Amino acid sequence: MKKKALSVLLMTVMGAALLAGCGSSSGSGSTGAGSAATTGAAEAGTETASASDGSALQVDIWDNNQLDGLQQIADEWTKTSGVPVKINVITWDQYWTLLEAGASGGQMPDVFWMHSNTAQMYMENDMLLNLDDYIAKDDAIDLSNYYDGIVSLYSANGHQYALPKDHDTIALLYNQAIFDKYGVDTPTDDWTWEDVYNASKAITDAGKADGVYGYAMNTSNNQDGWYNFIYDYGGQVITDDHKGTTIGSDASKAGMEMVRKILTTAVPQTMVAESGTDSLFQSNVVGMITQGSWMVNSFYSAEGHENYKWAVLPYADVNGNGSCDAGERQSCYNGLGWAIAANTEHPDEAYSLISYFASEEGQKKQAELGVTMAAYKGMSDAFTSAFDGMDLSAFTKIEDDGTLYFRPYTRKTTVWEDAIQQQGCFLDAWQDPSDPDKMSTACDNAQKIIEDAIAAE
Amino acid sequence: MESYKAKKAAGTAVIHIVLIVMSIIMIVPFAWMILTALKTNQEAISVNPFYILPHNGWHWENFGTVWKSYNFLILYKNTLLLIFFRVVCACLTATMAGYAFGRLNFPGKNILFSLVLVQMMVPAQIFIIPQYTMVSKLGAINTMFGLVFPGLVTAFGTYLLKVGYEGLPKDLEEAATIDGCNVGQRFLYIMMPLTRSSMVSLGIFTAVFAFKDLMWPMIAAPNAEATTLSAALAKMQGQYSNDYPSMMAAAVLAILPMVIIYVIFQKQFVEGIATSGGKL
Amino acid sequence: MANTKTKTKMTPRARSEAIWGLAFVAPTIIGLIILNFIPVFQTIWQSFCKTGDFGKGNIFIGLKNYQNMVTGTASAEMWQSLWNTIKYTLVQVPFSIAIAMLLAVLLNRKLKGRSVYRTIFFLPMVCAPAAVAMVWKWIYNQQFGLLNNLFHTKTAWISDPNIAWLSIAIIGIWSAIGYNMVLFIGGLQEIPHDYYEAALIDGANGWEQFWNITWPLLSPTTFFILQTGIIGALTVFDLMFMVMDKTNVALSKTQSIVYLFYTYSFTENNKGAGATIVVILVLFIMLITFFLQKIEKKFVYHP
Repeated sequence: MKKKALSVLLMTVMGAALLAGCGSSSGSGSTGAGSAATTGAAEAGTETASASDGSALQVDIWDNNQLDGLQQIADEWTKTSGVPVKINVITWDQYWTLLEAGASGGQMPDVFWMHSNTAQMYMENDMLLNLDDYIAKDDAIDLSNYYDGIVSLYSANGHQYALPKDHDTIALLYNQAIFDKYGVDTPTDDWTWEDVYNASKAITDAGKADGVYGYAMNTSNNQDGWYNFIYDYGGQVITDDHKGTTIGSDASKAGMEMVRKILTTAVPQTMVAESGTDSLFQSNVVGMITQGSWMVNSFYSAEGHENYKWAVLPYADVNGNGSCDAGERQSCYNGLGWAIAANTEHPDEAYSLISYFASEEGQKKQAELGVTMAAYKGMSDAFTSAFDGMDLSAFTKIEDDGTLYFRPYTRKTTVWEDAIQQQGCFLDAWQDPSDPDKMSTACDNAQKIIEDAIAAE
Repeated sequence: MESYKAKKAAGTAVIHIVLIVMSIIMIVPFAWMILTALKTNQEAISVNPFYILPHNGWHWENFGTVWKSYNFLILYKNTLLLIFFRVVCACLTATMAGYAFGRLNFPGKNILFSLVLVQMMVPAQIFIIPQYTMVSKLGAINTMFGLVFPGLVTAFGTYLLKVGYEGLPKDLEEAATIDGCNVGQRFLYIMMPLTRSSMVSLGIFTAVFAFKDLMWPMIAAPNAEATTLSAALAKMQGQYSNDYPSMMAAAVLAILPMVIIYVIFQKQFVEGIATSGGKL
Repeated sequence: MANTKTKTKMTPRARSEAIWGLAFVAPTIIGLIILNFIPVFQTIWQSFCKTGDFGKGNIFIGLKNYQNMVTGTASAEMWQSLWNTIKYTLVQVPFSIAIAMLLAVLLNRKLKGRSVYRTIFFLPMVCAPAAVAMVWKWIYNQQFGLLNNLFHTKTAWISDPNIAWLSIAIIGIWSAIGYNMVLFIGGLQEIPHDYYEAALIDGANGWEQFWNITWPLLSPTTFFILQTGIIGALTVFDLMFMVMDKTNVALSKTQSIVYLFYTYSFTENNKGAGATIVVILVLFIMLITFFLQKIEKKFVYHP
């Protein structure tokens, strides 16, 4: 109906253009206008045609840093398959808008990334291709070779909807020069969060005149930041069954109290929000930050990287025995998935491509090129050795010495994730970390917000 | 007389001071954009010392890097085509409708014209969700047609051209009627050429607003190959996040063509936008 | 009236004119109906629906979206955004008008470099707001920005919830001055010169001239700029979107109602809620327009 009406409109416009074109002997302006409108319609037609052209597989991702490496791996695949691959990078917000538009309008890219925030919704609505039969026939893929959390994230009702792409861990990054300048001992792999607090306070106090701070935390990045404190102290943002939370428990509050203490010595949140912890760190005004393995490249290639050192993510000595016991050092991990549109015209080619990405060979390349850590178990060393001259063992040590927990998710993760960052919840505490009551109240409010959100799902 | 002259000179001096101060305020953001674009990122985020001018040479290559990594050629092409189609569609439909509303009698004229007026009074945000749904149902996301779509017709332009046609003297057309010209010929050969200034105003107005629009290209054409300069800048902020020289270089590249055209045709620009606005 | 008349007896010439007329307006009218009028009703309908995943299964839920926005869980955010928008408008519109009027009066005379000044002031009008907002955001940056480093301050221009909205309003003023000024110059040039000469003979000083001649005779232009300026400010989006990141702590105290509409409609894909916000906004703007029409007669000088 709408299509018809639209074509009527287009015809009218074009007809009018032709009319103007015929009598063009006098008015020079109308000649231009006439031919222009005609080519306009033609142009629009060709653009649509090329979008659905079957020759190249369309792949959508959201991280510009990974484009070159992934394109390189995809080109390898093209050599054997003969099918070209076109990778598009779209920013995070627009990525989901576009994907959702494609899902509603029936025009999705052939292959794209899935994320824990949205995977459930896409799987339940049958937007992703069911991979069960393909995997069963594929010798290159054995799901037991991958981190469990990632495999189970992308399965629903016993079906697998995406192949694991990568995983990540968190480490503590510090600037040796700043520690030396203010005579503070540098972080070790045995540090607790209390040690971090003391060092941060010492640097912030000593560096006041220079505008140097000991620590910077981006409170909007929960994965490399405050989530880990909650888990170290024995709390959970989302319980294992994805149906509840213990964010308001005493254990969680103890973790958030430590966050609060560190924030009192850290860069104010207003400044972090504008510049990002990575920029602040690289401008030599911050002693320590926590960062995920996906960020390594930007520090490795930065000026002054010879001063940048990594230490294992600190732990919380909850039982006070002076050593790190089971569960006291936790690192959040997340993993993306390679998914295929359920309505793609090239399911076989698309599966062949993601199978190559997820295969031992593809995963190894991804790690060796320094794109990200592999989702394939036992390849983390390949990633860390990709960065010659920078010791990245902190990212692999935590896999042996600590506990990895999967990034908390529910069916509609973003709803509560955004809500607890607002006023009336953690925002109040971020803005005024000096008041312990605000943090404690925020935990109580978060408990309620998350419970309500899960109930509404 | 002497004191009057002195007073006048002093007054002129004060006026110049006010105008120069304002000019500086207007210019500084542009200057800072260019200066930052010529630095390394390390210089740009250096606070102690703080650099106004690039310190280690002028890094003109930043422009080339951004040009390549963001494929500005395609962005320019898309923006140019969007402006072109929007202007053509707006001028074409508006001049016909404006002529009919301004000079012809036909049944339902008043009701139909009231539709035009009503559209002008409603904020455009109310159309966006359904327009987006239509484009997405047609599979026209990330196409030129999808980008042009909301600007296929223009109520404002119709109104502007109607006023233009109404202002033309009546006897012009009557003479042609006696010569046996039909309505179409009268429109094409006599009336339309006379409203050229209104058309130019509408064209510039449409072009500038197509160039500046952000929300529509962001949602209707998010792909790097399909998007416009404005929307690409928004995207860049997400991707280059804290590489300030690159972002500023991109901003310079994005505004440069329009600024150059403006400086050359500034009289038409200022008048075009002022008359379009003034008659609204 | 005219309608019935033409129907009863239509000469061939009148008939041909009617056909030409209808054919000429057809593209525009059909376009307006498809692009604008149907969407208005679709938006209103959408605001009564709960959006299903992927646009499937819109469920009619009556006034529930409105309830949610006006008194329910989303109400705090909605009212805060509306208030942010009003605050922005109350600062951006008067200042951009006052400064523009001053500049127009100063430039409305024989002056060296007049056209250079005009070119400079009008420059922001032809620049993409996305680029303008980007550079201002960089100037405002608390740690690395030009403003703080030049004046040795530590102000969080765009992330302190108390002043971020003001900082954005300053960008809005900066962007609008040139456009308003050009409109004012147009208005000033229509005031006959004899008025000022007569006033000069009467011994009126500059201020008296402005207040007794310029101000009343310029009032139709002023009112026009006021009206379009208010509507433009109430629907501000580009500057907000480019300057305020999702992670900005001042976002909730700064974001405009159209920004909120965008977030709901296109980021969270909750088009029902987005439609509700836009309907509330349109009702609000209609209310403002109504009041503006009321004061128009008092404000604008009719000789």
